[in-house]
Amino acid sequence: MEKLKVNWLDKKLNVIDFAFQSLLRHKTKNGLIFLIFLVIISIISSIFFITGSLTKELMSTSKSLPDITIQKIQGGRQVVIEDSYLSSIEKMPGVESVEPRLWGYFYFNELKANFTIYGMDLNTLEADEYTKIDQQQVQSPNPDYDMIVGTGVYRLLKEVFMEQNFIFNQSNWEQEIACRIIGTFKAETQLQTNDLMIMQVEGARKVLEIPESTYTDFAVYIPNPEEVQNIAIKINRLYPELRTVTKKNIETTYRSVFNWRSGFVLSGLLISILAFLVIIWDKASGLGNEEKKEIGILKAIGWDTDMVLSVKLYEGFFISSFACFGGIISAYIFVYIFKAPGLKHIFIGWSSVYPDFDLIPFFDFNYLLLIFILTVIPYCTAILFPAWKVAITDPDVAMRNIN
Amino acid sequence: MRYSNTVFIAFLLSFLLIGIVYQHSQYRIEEIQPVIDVRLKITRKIGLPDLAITTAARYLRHYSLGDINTPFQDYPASLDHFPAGFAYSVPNFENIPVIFRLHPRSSN
Repeated sequence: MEKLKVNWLDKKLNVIDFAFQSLLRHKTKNGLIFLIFLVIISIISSIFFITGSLTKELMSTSKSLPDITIQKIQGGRQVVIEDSYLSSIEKMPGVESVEPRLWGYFYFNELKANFTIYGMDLNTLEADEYTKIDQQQVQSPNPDYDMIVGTGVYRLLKEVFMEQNFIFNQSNWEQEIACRIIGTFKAETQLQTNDLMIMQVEGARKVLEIPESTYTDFAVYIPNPEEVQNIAIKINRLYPELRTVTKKNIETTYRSVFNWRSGFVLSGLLISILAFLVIIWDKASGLGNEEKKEIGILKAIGWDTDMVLSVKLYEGFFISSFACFGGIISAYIFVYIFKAPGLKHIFIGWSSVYPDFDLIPFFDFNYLLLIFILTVIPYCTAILFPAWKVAITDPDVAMRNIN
Repeated sequence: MRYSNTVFIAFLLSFLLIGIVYQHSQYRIEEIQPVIDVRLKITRKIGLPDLAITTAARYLRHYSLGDINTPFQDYPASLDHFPAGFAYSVPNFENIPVIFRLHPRSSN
C-alpha cells in the first residue's frame, strides 16, 4: 500500500487547525484564561509605560539644571542661606557663576492649594515662553508684584475670580500683598510650570517672608563637567553646613524614583505576578478529565507523542501571545490616548493643582520583549508537562481515565 | 477558510497593530520635540527640577532637593501620610559629598 505523502507545511498547518479547533471546543474556559492574561499584562505594561514616560519627562529637561545646587542644612532641615557664602564660592577656580535663588511655597487656604513661588527678573522671559494677558485696564500697584503663573494656577484662580489680581495674605501680616497677573505659561510646559507663580525678586521676598541678604539656595554653573564633583567636595570641605546636590545626583534620583522600591511599582508587579503564578500552578497541576480522554483518543488513533505535545504547545502559545499583544496595545491606549484615568491619581495624591497627563510615549522593545518572554514561555512550559505525562501513558488507561 | 489561515491573519493583525502603536509613539515624540526645546529654555532660566505632578507636600513637589527624613519630619515618629508618597521610592543621595572628619582619640 502506498504511503500517503503529506509535505511538512501541510502537516504543520493541520496541527495548527486542530489546536485552534481544540481551543474553540472549550470556548468559555479558554476565553476566561485569555481575559485574565490580558488584564495582567495590561497592568504590567501600564506600569512600565507610565513610569518610563515620567522618567523620560524628567530626563528630558535635566541637562538644563544647574551643575550644583547649594542648600544650607540646620538640624537636618533646609534653612535659608546667607549671601556671605557667595563671594568665596564665586572665586573658586572652575566656577563660572553662582546665582542666588529665592523660591518657596505658598499655601492658599481657600483652595487648599500649594503654589511654588519663584523670584526672578520677568524681563528675562521671552515672548514665546509665556502667553501675555491683556491687563491694560488693571492698574499695577507696583511692578515688583507683577506675576506670571502656570496654567493650573490660572485655572484655579479663575474659580475664585482672582485671575487678574491675586491677593497674598496671611493672618499675621499687617497688610495684604496684591499681585497683578500679566501672563500664563504655555500649556505644553505644564508638567514643569503648572503650579508656578513667578514674580520679581523683591515681591517674592515679601510674599515668602525671607529676610534680606538671605536666599533659598544657590545655583552654581560650571563649564567643565569633569570638575563638578571636585568643586562640590571643595564647597563641602570649606562649609560643612552646606549640602551640595549635583546635576548627576538629581539625574540618578530621576532614574531611580520609579524603580522597584516605589510602592506603586512593587504592589502592581507583585499582584500581577501572583495572579500569573496562580494560573501557571493551575495549568501545571494537571489536565482535566476531558483533556486526558482527548489525548488518549489521539494516541489510540496513531498520533505520536510529539504531535500531541505540539497541539498543546500551539494552544498555550496562541492564548498567551494574543493576550500579550492585546495587553500591550490596550495599555498603550489607556496611558497615552485616555491619559491613564484612575492611575494618574495615585501620582497626584491630594494635590489641588495638577497637570494633564499628556506624556511623552515610552515604547521600548526591550521591555516588551521581556514581558513577552516572561509570560509566554512559562505558560507554554506549564502546559507541556502535564500533557507529556498523559501522552506517555497507555492510551487505554488515559481514555478510561484510570488514575 | 482554514483555522490556520485565521490564526495567521490574527498574528499579522497583531503585528500590524503593534507597528501602528510604535509609529504613533514615534510621531508623538517628533511632535513633542519643539515643546521639549521650550521646556529646556524655561528650565535653564528657572533652574528648578522635578515635575509639577503633585503639590501636596514640598518633598513630593521638589523630590530631588528634599531629604530622606523630610516625609517624617512633622513630629516624632511621624509616618509619611501623603498618598502620593506611595508612588515614589526613596531619593538617591548616595553620592552627595559628605566630608567625615576623623579626630585622633586622646590617650588618657
